[in-house]
Amino acid sequence: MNCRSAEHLFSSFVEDELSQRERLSLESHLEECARCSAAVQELRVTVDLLSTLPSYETGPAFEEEIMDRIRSGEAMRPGLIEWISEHLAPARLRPVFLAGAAGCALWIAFLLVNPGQDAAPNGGSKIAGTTPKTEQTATSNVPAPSSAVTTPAAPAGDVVASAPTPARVAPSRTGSVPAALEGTAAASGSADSARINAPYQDEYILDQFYLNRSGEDGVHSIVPVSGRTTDDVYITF
Amino acid sequence: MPIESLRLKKLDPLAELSDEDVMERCAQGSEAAFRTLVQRYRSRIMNLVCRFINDRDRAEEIAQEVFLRVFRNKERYRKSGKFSTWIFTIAVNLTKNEIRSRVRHRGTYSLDAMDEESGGQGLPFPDWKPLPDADLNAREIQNKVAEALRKIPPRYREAVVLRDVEGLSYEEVGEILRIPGGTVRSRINRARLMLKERLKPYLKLEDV
Repeated sequence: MNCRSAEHLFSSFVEDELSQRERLSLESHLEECARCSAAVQELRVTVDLLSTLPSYETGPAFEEEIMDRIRSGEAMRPGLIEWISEHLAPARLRPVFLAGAAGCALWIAFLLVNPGQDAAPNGGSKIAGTTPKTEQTATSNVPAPSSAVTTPAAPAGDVVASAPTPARVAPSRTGSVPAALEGTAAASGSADSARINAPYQDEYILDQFYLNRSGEDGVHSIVPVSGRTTDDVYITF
Repeated sequence: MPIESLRLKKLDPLAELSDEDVMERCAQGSEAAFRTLVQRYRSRIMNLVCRFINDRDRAEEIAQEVFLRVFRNKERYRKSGKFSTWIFTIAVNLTKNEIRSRVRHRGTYSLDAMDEESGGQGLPFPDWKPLPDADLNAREIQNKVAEALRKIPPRYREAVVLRDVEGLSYEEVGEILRIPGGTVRSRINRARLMLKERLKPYLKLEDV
């Protein structure tokens, strides 16, 4: 053991906290090194002196001043820094973080389980915006349908006057259900009826719904490709 | 048992309770229990704060604030932890805030500047009284020790004050300063060696 490594053990030696092996090794060094031996003695005295320092006392009114501050309500008003440290402490914010993380996890799980559902409210416009227009020659006099299913897309006269064209069947996601929407319908009133009964071009193709014209009474309906007729149909263009 | 001691026991039922038990009663709303804690710890807290910031008036304000925080947070105290560790942690944190505040206002924190505030002599001991000639040397040594303590860096000073002046265990010091046990021992050893070097001329006076 050299002086440098011995020095690291001085404090523990003074407090008798060394292992037997360390203590024997240090004692062996101290017997040979007068300088380290003196240093240990000085350190021992230093520690003793620290423990005998006189203490500072509070003033005589210390306790009563505290009690007065408590009675006045001052004690119950934390300072700004204390308030912040208490209310924004990591331990306090942990439930908020956990709730946020759980919410995010649920939302991600929902998206994974229902990949197409999230776009339902705005999906119509998205699909309409990305769907290519077709048969421009046949539908040139048909204005684009308006934004709501129940709103007549165009004046009835224009629709009726348009040339009949075979409906184009777009590939469906399921493969078994026609996915071509030949217009926006499900309307009431004469204008809507006229438009629906017209040989409408499939100007817009949606993969979520299709126009069912197979009703015997001539009633057309918009049916989700999923086949669940109870689904709410809400399409915007 | 003598009648006097029986009477004293009846007068102060909290006297024999541990700090943790007294604190529990304090949390239940006992003002007497809170007063008992103030009486038990006022000197130690005042002493600790004074050793750190060397400003007696401000130290007393901080010591009061320590007890107000104990009162304010009494319901949050958990009996599983030692009360002394809890209250010393509050005191150390408030003192550190004070030092940071001084650094912000002054731009730097100088122990020498604090010495100048106290006339270069540090704080006089409150129980300063004329001592017999035989004790003059001891008083001089104590002043030198206190001065040496003020001169070492704060991180070493706080560790050695908690350990050697307040007599806390290494584990408590680590818990209060939020540093691991190895760091506690290293800082205390380093602090003692620094103090020893500063006190070397006077230790010869003591002549062990």
